[in-house]
Amino acid sequence: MSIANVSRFVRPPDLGAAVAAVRAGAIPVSGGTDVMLHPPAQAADMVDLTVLPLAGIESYRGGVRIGATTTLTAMLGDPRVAAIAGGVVATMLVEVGSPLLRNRATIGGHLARGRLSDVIPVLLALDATITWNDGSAHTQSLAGFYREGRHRTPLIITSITIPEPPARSGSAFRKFSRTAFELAILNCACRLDLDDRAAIAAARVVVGETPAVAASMNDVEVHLAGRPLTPEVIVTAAQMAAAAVPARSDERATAEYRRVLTEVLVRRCLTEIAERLA
Amino acid sequence: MKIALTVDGVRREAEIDPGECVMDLLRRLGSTSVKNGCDRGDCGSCAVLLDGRAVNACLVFAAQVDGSEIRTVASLESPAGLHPLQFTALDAGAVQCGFCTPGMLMTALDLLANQPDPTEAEVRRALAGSYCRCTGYTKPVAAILTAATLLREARHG
Ligand SMILES: Cc1cc2nc3c(=O)[nH]c(=O)nc-3n(C[C@H](O)[C@H](O)[C@H](O)COP(=O)(O)OP(=O)(O)OC[C@H]3O[C@@H](n4cnc5c(N)ncnc54)[C@H](O)[C@@H]3O)c2cc1C
Repeated sequence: MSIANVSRFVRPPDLGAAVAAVRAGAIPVSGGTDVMLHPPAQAADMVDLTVLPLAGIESYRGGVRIGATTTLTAMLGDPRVAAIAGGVVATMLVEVGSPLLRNRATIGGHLARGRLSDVIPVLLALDATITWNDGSAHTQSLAGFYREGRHRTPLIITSITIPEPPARSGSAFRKFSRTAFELAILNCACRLDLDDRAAIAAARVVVGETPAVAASMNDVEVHLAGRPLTPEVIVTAAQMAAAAVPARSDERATAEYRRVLTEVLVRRCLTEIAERLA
Repeated sequence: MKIALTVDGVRREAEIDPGECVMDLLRRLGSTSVKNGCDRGDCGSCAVLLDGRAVNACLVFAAQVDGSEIRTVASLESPAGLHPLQFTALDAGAVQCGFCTPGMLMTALDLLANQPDPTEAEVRRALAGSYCRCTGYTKPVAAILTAATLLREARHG
């Protein structure tokens, strides 16, 4: 789709020049798969981030750091990404669109876009941190980044870091959609860390596409903490999540349907984790 | 703005609009095998290899492919004849109207370059972003699996 209102396509010599351009109103472009579908309302410059050395994956403090212009396909093919958190990131990535999309879409563009995402719930459940530059470099939790609405401010995301969860930890992801290629009607990512008595030391329960980007079910997480991972605890947690989820209706599903799905997906994720940790 | 790129082995220079997509550029340059089905990344009819990986040409800015190498379905045939992906598609009856075929073959080419021995499920997953509205998927999937076998046999002599 060729689009109107693009005044110039700038190839910045370095990150500083790219940030300066973005702060002056230019639109950052990575894979461009989303920019192309949302043309600017008025004439604007675009800044090509793919010319900057922002792609690549490296081990970092026991976890993995992924440069912003790394494609989803490159992530999917990387053994460190495949290994992290029992493989939940890779499990999720194969359900993002199609190979044609993943070959072009980048993790930085995906996170900056900040909506309708299978990726964000998983990264939130794994306590990922994001690094960005708005004239100076900052690192903060991905949860804080969205809570503060940073993705709507002029900045350039440079990397995302996924820490390796503790030894006795399990993670799971479920996407519910008509086909894997389609956007989710609802998705869910959970992570449970167990202590040495096999009680839940920490819990993450994130529900996405409610249709808001992702909702951390804080009350459910608090409820799970300190409890054993039994079928009864799982059923109660799933019911609590269904009651608390900020579900809304849109063209893909009603709020009621999303609440029912929340209960099912949370239960399935937690059950999968329980089976894995048994 | 001006860019230079290689299309099916031929170096091309083009004056482009900064908001132009690769699909429109390629068609403008004469590569009309690159089809415009949906213009929004849903159907895969415009798939081409961009520096070795299959992408939706409708979702890529032409301004970002300066210096890149693009392959369309027109590059598949060699002096030796049709590429196995092409003749198995014909033999299996995987082509009816043929509109989706160029994109589907380039998507399959990417798959087989990275996974020479795919399962049927892997082929189906690879075609997730390729829509066919007349033949369906059974015959294209069978054709791609046969092509994979032929390519492996050719590689191992
Ligand atoms: C057909 C189709 C199917 C899809 N299916 C799914 C799906 O099933 N699941 C799913 O989760 N997603 C899906 N998506 C969304 C897709 O994952 C995103 O479009 C893609 O990840 C965006 O990445 P990009 O590099 O192309 O971003 P771009 O289009 O380059 O940018 C997206 C946004 O981020 C800004 N930006 C880009 N890079 C940066 C940066 N480094 N720092 C700051 N801002 C930046 C841009 O200005 C723009 O606002 C689908 C999209 C399409 C088109």
